[in-house]
Formats: sequence, C-alpha cells, structure tokens
Amino acid sequence: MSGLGETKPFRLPGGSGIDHTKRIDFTFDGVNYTGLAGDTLASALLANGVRIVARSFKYHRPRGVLTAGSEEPNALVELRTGARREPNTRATTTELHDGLCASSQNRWPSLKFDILAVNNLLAPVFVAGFYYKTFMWPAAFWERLYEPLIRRAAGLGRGADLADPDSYEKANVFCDVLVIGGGAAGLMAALVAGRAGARVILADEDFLFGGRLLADHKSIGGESAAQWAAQAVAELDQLPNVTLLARTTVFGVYDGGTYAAIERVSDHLASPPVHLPRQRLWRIAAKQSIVAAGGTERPIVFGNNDRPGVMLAGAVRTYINRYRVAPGKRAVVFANNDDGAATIIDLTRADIDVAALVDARRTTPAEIRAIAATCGVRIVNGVVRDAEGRHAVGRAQIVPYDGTPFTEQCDLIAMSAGWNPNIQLTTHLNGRPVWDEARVAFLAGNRPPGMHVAGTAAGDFSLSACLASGARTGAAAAIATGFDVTAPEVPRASEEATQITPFWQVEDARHKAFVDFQNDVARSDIVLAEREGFRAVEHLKRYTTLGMATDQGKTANVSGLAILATLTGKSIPETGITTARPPYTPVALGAFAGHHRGKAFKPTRLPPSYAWAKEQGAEFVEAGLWLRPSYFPRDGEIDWLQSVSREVEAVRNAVGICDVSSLGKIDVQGPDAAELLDRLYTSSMKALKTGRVRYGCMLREDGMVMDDGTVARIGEHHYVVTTTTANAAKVYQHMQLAVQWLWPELDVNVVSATEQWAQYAIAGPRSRALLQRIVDPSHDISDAAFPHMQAGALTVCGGVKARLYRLSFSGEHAYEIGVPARYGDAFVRRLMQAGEDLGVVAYGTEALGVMRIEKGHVSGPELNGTTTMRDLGLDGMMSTKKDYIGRVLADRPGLTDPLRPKLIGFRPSERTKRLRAGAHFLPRGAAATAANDQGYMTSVAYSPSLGHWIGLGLLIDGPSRVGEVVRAHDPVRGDDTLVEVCALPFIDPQGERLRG
Amino acid sequence: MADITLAAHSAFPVGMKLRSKSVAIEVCDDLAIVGLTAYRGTADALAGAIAERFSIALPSPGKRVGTDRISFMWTGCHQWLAIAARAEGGLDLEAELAAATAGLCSIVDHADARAVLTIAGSDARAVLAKGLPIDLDERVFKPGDAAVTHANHIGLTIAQLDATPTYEISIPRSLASSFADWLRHAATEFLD
Repeated sequence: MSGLGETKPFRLPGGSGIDHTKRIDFTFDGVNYTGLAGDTLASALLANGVRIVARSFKYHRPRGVLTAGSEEPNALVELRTGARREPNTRATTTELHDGLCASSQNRWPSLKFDILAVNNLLAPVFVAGFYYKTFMWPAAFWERLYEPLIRRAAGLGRGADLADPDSYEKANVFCDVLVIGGGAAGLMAALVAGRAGARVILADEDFLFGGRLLADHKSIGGESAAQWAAQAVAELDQLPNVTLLARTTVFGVYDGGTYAAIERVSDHLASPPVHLPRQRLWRIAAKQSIVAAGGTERPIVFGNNDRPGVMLAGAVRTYINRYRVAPGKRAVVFANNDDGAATIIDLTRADIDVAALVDARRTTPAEIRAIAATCGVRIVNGVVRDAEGRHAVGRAQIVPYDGTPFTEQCDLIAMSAGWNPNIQLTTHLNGRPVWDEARVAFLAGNRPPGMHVAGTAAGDFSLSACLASGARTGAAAAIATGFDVTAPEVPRASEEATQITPFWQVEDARHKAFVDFQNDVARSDIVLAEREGFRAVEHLKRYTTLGMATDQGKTANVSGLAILATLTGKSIPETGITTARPPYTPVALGAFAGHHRGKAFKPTRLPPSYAWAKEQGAEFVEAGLWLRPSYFPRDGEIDWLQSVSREVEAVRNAVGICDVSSLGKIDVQGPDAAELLDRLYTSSMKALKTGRVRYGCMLREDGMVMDDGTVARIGEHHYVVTTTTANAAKVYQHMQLAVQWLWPELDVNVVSATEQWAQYAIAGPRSRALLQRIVDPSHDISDAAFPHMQAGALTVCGGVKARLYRLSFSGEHAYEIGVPARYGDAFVRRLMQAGEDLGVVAYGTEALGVMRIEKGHVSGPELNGTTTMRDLGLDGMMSTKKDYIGRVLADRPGLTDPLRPKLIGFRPSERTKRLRAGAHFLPRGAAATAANDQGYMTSVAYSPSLGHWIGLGLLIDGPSRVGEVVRAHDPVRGDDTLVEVCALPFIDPQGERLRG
Repeated sequence: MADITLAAHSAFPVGMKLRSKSVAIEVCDDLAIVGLTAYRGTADALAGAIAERFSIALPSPGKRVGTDRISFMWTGCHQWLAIAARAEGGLDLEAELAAATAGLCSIVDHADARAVLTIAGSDARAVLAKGLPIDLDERVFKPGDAAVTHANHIGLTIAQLDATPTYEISIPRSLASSFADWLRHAATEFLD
C-alpha cells in the first residue's frame, strides 16, 4: 500500500450529511478516535483510517466495512460495555454518539493478530458440511466433547450475561397508508398520500430520511437530491396526518394489514434518559402499505473479495457523498452494470485516484465510456480475479478478456454485481418472488392484500422511475383508503443509465472467493455442495449455511443461487430462492417482552385485604394471577408450620378470618336461572329454596369433574354461584358457552361478580359471636334464623350492604360474608379489632388447606381434570332424575371401572413420619414398578388437631381398604413410608362443630 | 339507618393521580356503576323504560350517552353499564334501576368491581397507544364512543368523554395496581 498517499486525510470537506463543527469522541478496541455528528461508527472508523474492524465467523479472516447499511455482514462489533454490551451490532447502522465504546469481536488476543486465524490455513478442512461429517460418532462424544467445543469456537460476539438495565415498550398505531422506507420512492409516496389527507406513517430504519438521495450525487428539480429530500421531510413533518418514524425498521408483515416495527428510541444515546425506553416495538395496523425499502447491492464473487478495502460500490458512494469520507486513496471499480460510471464520477470528485473501471461486460456502453474518458479513467473489459494484501487490499489482479493480466496497486476495490430489490416484506405472507430477466433481479410476486411496492424495491433502478412509482403507489393507496388524488406532480430528476449484464463470479480465482461473508460461505462450498448432491436451494442453504447468518444472506443469497444455477445448468427461476422470514433485521428479545418482564410478566390480582395483610407481615402465594396470604407469621415462630398450626388451632378453638375474595362469584338471574343451573350442576338446583345454599359439582362434557362450589339462591330467579379460584374464568366461560351457544332459548343472564365483593370466611366456634358485633342489630343471625347453609342480604357497620352465607370449608361453625370491595380493607381491620378478645386470628391458604384436608374436602389437587365424582366419593350428588352436562360420558365403562383409584385418607404408620404429596401407593412388599402402582397421594398436611401428618389420596378400591397398610413411594424425594388407609373425615365425622 | 362506619378504600395505589402539561390522570372512586343485561326479547322495552325514566336512549354498540346525572355505556350484546355519581346515603342506583326496569333486565352492582380513572390531555392518546390495541385517533374514536378492549393483559372499558381528549377507563378492581404500574410507565415520558 506504499505510495498511495497516506498523508491525505480520509475526511473530505463539505457535505450536508455530517456536521464538521460537532466532533464526537469514541473508542474502538480501547483506542480513542474522533468522528463527526452524522457519522455512523463505520464512517467514523473509515474517516480515522481504520480498515480492519472484525474477524470472520469461521476462518477468523480480517474483515472491513462492506456496506453502508443494515445488510452489513462484516463490520459487526460489540457495542457498549457491562450490562449494556450488545454483540453483533452493525457498525454501519450504529449512530455515533459521544462516549460510544465499541470493540471488535471473534478475535484473540487482538484484531491484527488472531490465533484462531489458523482456521484459515485449515480452510480445506472446514468445508461445507464440516460439522455433519466430523462430529458424527461416537454419539457419546456429542454432549461431552463436540458440542462444548463447537459452542466455544462458534458465534461472534458475547452476550452481556447481565440483566438488561433498560426498559422497552410496545405501542399500537393505526393508519391508512404505511410507507416503508424513506428514500426517493417512499418520500414521494408519503407526500402524495399525505397531501391527499390520508393518515400516513413513514418509517425508515436510518436516522435520516432520504435513503440513496443522501448517498448519490443526483439532482431533482434543479436542486440536489439531498436538498429535495430535506424539503420533502420538512413538508411531511408539517402535515398533521403524517407520522414520521425515523430509526424504525418495519420488520414483519402479519395477517390483516398488521406490521411490526422496531423503533430504536435511545440506541443512539450512551444510555437512555430515565423517561425513555431503549426501543419501542410498534404494532402498526395499516389499510394500505407501500414497500419502498430500496435495494441491496450484490458483491462480485472473486478471490479475497472479503479483504478490508473491498467494498460495495454503492457504499463507496455513500461514504463519499453522505459522510464525506474517502474509503481509500486509490481505487479499482469492478462492476457489471452502469452504476460503475456513477462510482468513478464520485471517486474522481473526491480526489481519489481511480486505477481502472473493470467492466465485467464484454462491451461497455458508449455513454459510460464517455464518462470514463471525462474522468480520465481507463476501462478494462475483464475481471478482478483476486484482491491481494495480507490484512487489507494492496493490489488487484486484473484479467482483461482480451489482453494480458496485470496488477494494479490500490487500497479500495468498489464492486457491484447489480442490485437486489428489498422485497423481503412482500414474502412474509407466503409471497413468492419472480425473476426478472431484464433487471437481473427478483421482484415481488404475489403480495399481501393492500401492499404496493415502489422504487428500487420494485425494480425501478433510476431516480426518475423511483419518483414516478412512489407517486403512483402513493396515489393508489390514498384512493384505496377513500381519499381523492388528482394526478400528482412528479419532479424531474437527473437521468442515468441502468443497464446490466448478469455476472456473478470469477471462476478461476486463486484465493477463496466469498458469497456469504457473515457465515464464511465461499464459492468452493457451493461447488462442493452441488457435487455432493445438495442441489436444491433449500438444501444448499442448510448444508453450507448460506444465508443463515443474522443478515439472512441479504448480500449473499442471489449470488449463491446464481452460482448454483451455473453449476447445475439450470436457469435462476428454475433454481428458485429461499424464503425471507421476519424479522427483516435482528430485533432484541427485550423489545418483544416490552413492559412484561419480571413481576410484570403477567398482571397481579390483589385481594381486598392485601394492604392490611402486608402490614401484618403475611407471606403470600400466587394462586393464578391472585396474590393470596398463605400464612401470617408472628414474632418468635420459627417456621411456617408453627404459624400455620397456630392459625388452625385458633380457628378450631376460637375464630379465624380468611380472605376468600379470589373465589369466583357468578351472578345468575332470569326466569330460566334454575333450569340453567340444573343443566350445569350434577345435583338439582331447582329444588333449592330461596335463602338456602347447596354444594355442587359441574362436570366437563367428557364426564370428568370440572369444578365445585356453592350455589346460593338469593331470590326466586336469582342465584349466586361460587367457583374455585383456579377455575373462575373457566367456569364463567363454560356458563357463557351454555347460555350463548348451547341453549340460547333459556332466558337467563350470567354475569361475573367476583370483583364486586370483598369476601371473608369467618370460621370457628366464636364466629357468630364475632359477627354479632359487626352485623347491624336489626338482623337476626341466630341458629334459628340463620342455620347452616343459609344465605341472606343484610347490612354491617352502620348500613354497608353485605351478603352473608353460612358455609364451612373448615368444618367449624363458619360463615362467609361479602361487603362491597371498597370496604374490604376497613372491614377486615374492623373484624380483627372487634374479635380481639375472642382470640381472633387471620389465617391464610395454608391453614385453609390443612383444615379442608382434616375434613376430607376435595380441592385443586383432587379436582385435577382426571377425576370423576365417583373417584371422589361424590356419586351421591349425581342426580338420576335430570340431565346435565357430562352425565352421559360420566357413565363410560372407563369412568365407572371399579378398579379406578378412589379418594380416601392416609396417615403414617409411624406417626412421626412426614407424608409427601405425589407419592405413589404400592402394596406392601411389592416392587416399585408401574405395574404395581395403585394410586397416589394428592394432598398432605400436618394436622395440629391430630398431632401427625395426614393425607388425601386416590387408591384403588380405597374406601373398602380402611385399616390396610400400603407403601407411599416417592422416588422424586427419595421417600418410602408405610401409611395406613383411614376413613374420612379425619375430624368431627358427625359434623357437630359445623352446626353447633 | 346509622351512618356507615367503614372507610372506603381506593382501588388505585397512592400516586396514581398525575398531572403534566400534556397528560392528566384522575382517579374516580366515587361512582355508582350498575350492569344491565336485557332478558330475551326485552331490549326494546328496556330501552323504552330507560328513556322514560332518564330521558336517555340506550346507546348502540360502541357508544356511551349521558346526562349530567347518569350515563349509559354499551358493553356487549344487550348489555350496558349505568354510571352515575355515587351518593352516599342518597339514592341507590341499583334500586332505582331495578324499579325503573322492573323485570326487563338483570341488574348487577359493579360499583366496587370496576376501578375507574380518567386520562386527559394532548398526549393521552400516545400514552394509551402503549397498551390499547384500538384506534383512538380523533378521526375514528370520538367523544361519545366507547369500546371494550384490553391493555397490559387487563380487560377494560374505555369511553371518550370530550374532545380534550378525556378518556374514562374502567378495569377490574383487583388488577388496579398492575394497571397503575403499566400506566405510570407508559406516561413517564410525558411528565414534566
């Protein structure tokens, strides 16, 4: 590279894309550099003469900057440090900001000297299918040796491995016309649709709108393209019906006109301000959309085409025109199309020597030859066979079609094999691209409803064609959404030549010639894959990993399949192309989570007594979305068991209060309310008298128990039913299905009332005494007026509406009382205060569970979706006098099989032993095999009333085996206990406490 | 009747109320809310009864209508919410509606089931866009419009009260705290 004029600065004067007065300090690999406002990290590095910015994935080859956009496969860096470190960030889209800190990845110990670059010498070994061929056997080696080995060597950057300190959010937006891409076509489309009055969203992944208008030296209506773009943006910004979303990539298309976009709100700042998220995920609902996403230039596959200094010609122009950076001092331009002329013009204007325009075409059009002559550039019809240079380009080996090969000193090779329209979004809903022979490109085929394609994305490669198709699609989209558009005025643009002849590869390159730069897939890999029979594009992709990197092969796929087509002798349409899928560019997972991380993953439902329980130091348990107190530890208690046992004893001997608001409460009203409930519950609800409550079970259609609860008839045509906490939504849904779909003729309304009532269980021998201090004196709650299973409306605490139910889950004399939820907090405080001298305690779900097990009541572990009423000993509640959901299938032979495990109680033979839920029952002395399995323990508790552990379980023929001893085998926790089968309930079999 | 000796507790956490130049959030704890669902074939008669008693035509789907005293919001097929200022010890909305509609509809008190707030201001739409998947643009959703939708995995009703715009949102009471977390998060960038 000697003699190439190192003294000239890389930064060029002038230009509107950057601000020469605003210097920005940043570091790369620990070295301090200075860039300018408007730079990307890539342009700033180039301006500082930094050429090697990365090491490649497989061979650890030195890599530079290939592109100037989001398609960049080479210049991937780790951005920021610590918890904000982000791997595989494209330097070409990273907006420079003060203090930016980036480092190269996939190298050790340094970028210049990377030990694993030895892989490059082993390149003949690391061919396509290397993993499939090498790590085949023995199988045992896979987990122990191969996978760890591959994992260590693979991948590019390192994840932060720390919690993301930033926030992300999601947002919804609606529009008539979504314009994707803010280049010439997109701006024109947005102007036409916006002026017509349509609600327009214009999104561009760049931080500046303009696309190639900023990157190419062109003119529109007598002014520079960049000036026109700035004016267009200014006009759009003034239109109230137009929303401009810069730094926003529309990355996916979904059904019904839904689009996903990621807005990088704060990525261009060192850290997001406290009030802003790092990124925002937009869900855009658009009636019409215009894909004006531009194009991606294709590299030419020649030897060492991945050397730093080999750059796409369009990117060279971008760095010169937009960022005012000279990407080299002496260039060779290698192209198969007329864009080569634009490149030599810009290089010449930037005072960069152009050694030659190597035109891969046999003949060069006259107008291009004229331009070259004006610039004083020699045209060679031929190829650049190889780039040479150890770390970066120093020479080009040029082989003319007619003449002698020669070497040209250069530090920059600008290449172009033509442009791929960016049609990825058109294929997300199964659109298939169509090959266009004249344009040498795939164009959008069938498109999702309401989607238009404009500009380069539609194969319009000249600026005037881009403006025209932008205006045309903008008008069409506006008209389709009900706006009037008169023939839009399209500004005149400079004319340019856009001829192209297909040319993909230099077949006799001496060095490795790359197709997919990010995944290190070379031409030789495609040759090998074809030879080994992987001749379909989808096979080629999987076998070589072509197009499987984070860039989805934006710069690689078409060249790859064109080379395959050459090898197989098929045409490109016959060969086909792989499918692009969302996201268009990588999206951080944090953005998909948005607000919903940590405890906000799902919302939490707080019971009315939550604040009070928290003050009491309660421990909470998640019950579905609800957070319920599980127990209320007191000072001096050493573990949960001690607290729970105290709560149980207090309920059994005095009185306790438990918030049961989370249980589902469903209001059923109407002339056919009784009929509906009769069809839903297995027992008769018609016969229930007003003011009375009954326990009931619902079956699923398949005959299994769905849920249990109470049914209170509070009026002739008015019932309130309860469900378990877990099944509240499911039961409500089931009832709505019955009312809306199964029996729409029934005149009955079903409304959820769960949230209305703060409901407390008040249980224990002193429960009535406590209630009498709370209930307004005009209401009689004596045994005579309010016996067990009675329900009624009354008032408490000076006129607060309340509903009282005399129910018991604990087996004690007990009530449930509901007050309007706003009073729930004050009410529990009042109850606790009023009952202080009665020895009142608050109890949680743990004590609730202990007492229901003592009483043999079933709950979630027994109502687990695999049990029948017979299994649970509830068959007495299965009416034979009426029909109900699940009745027919409950009589299936499989569900009436006498050998089905049935509910029964258990206690340890050795009373000091602990029981474990989930333990399986085995006959004594039988081997622990599935064949000997006789059921399992569903629920266990330590019973303070009995002084030992007790359990409920499902055991074959359980009820007739009372007194028998079986094994409770728990291989999960390594427990094996002998247990005695016992009758239920464990306490108060006559129910004397209940009625007392 | 004696005076009520229990204090009512707001569904929302302290600090839910926010006010900036472009967003104002107010908590509406003192509303009476009653759900009405017509019985089979009684919707017209119910509309007649409501019109006679309150001089209001029950709203069609997606609408909310009201007077200074009482509003009705459509919430589903033949379903409405009646919303009025809560009068402690005054008229009982549930009883009043029961009397006015005598057997034409089922009546369920939702005053404590729903937690209600209003959000107003020039950036109210931008805040709500972070959760509600419906189009609140002034061209589409106008004063008097109502919807049943969701935000932050929480089902809600929303109605636009005026052109400020001011929106009234009601959610299940037990979820108020989670909703408040999300809403505060969404509104942060618009606080002064």
